[in-house]
Amino acid sequence: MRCKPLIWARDTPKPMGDVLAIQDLTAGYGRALALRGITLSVPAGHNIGIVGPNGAGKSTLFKVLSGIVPARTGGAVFEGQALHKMSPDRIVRAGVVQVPEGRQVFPGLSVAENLWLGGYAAPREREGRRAEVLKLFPRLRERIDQAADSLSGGEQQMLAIGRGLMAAPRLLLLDEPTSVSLR
Amino acid sequence: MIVGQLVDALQAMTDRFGVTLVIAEQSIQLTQELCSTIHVLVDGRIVRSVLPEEADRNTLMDAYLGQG
Repeated sequence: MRCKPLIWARDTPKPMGDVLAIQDLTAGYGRALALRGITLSVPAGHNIGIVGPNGAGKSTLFKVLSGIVPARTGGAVFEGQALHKMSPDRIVRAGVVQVPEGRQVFPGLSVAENLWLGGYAAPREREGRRAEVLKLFPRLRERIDQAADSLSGGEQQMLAIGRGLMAAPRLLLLDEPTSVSLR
Repeated sequence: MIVGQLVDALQAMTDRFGVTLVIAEQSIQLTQELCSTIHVLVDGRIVRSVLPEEADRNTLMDAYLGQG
């Protein structure tokens, strides 16, 4: 069943078309199938949620979209580009960036260094992006020289999202951003 | 940072950067706040797709139990 998009209580009209189309996607590990014929689309200007219990395949779906796990059948097209045929670094450069579950910041590096690394795919935009990220998460500005592992859970989540934004994504895949303590 | 603050930050992010979000979650709260469609994934299959206002714990439980 595919739902028509909700009309948001916002004044701005949403653009038309799909930014991401996933068609009959199957993937797995060894003999185990983790995704069984996933078909869905992400209309431009609309966020979508994937909700499910542990082991449902949510992270595997993101790993396929990020080029980390290969598709066995079907595929995913982002703005006309077949993600399932691209390497992870090309996918990031194309504008699809994943913020993995559990934050996975670089613990021994500072906030500034973590953000800097996130911008490897968009080096020309690094400075401007960093300023925007710090505007969005002022707490990170206060902690800019602190080691990432000295931050609270919530601050590390901000850093993980901020690091993802540094790559100048147009599609951001957030894997269970509330799964860890946000305090 | 509590969930409400994360919602505010992500909403500001989509407005400021024009980025589209795909959010995977076990709970529905965040996706209800930010998403126009919520797909329920069970055992590698999309078993139900609902609007945020239709997504409640009972709907999810039914979907998880194969009654959706």
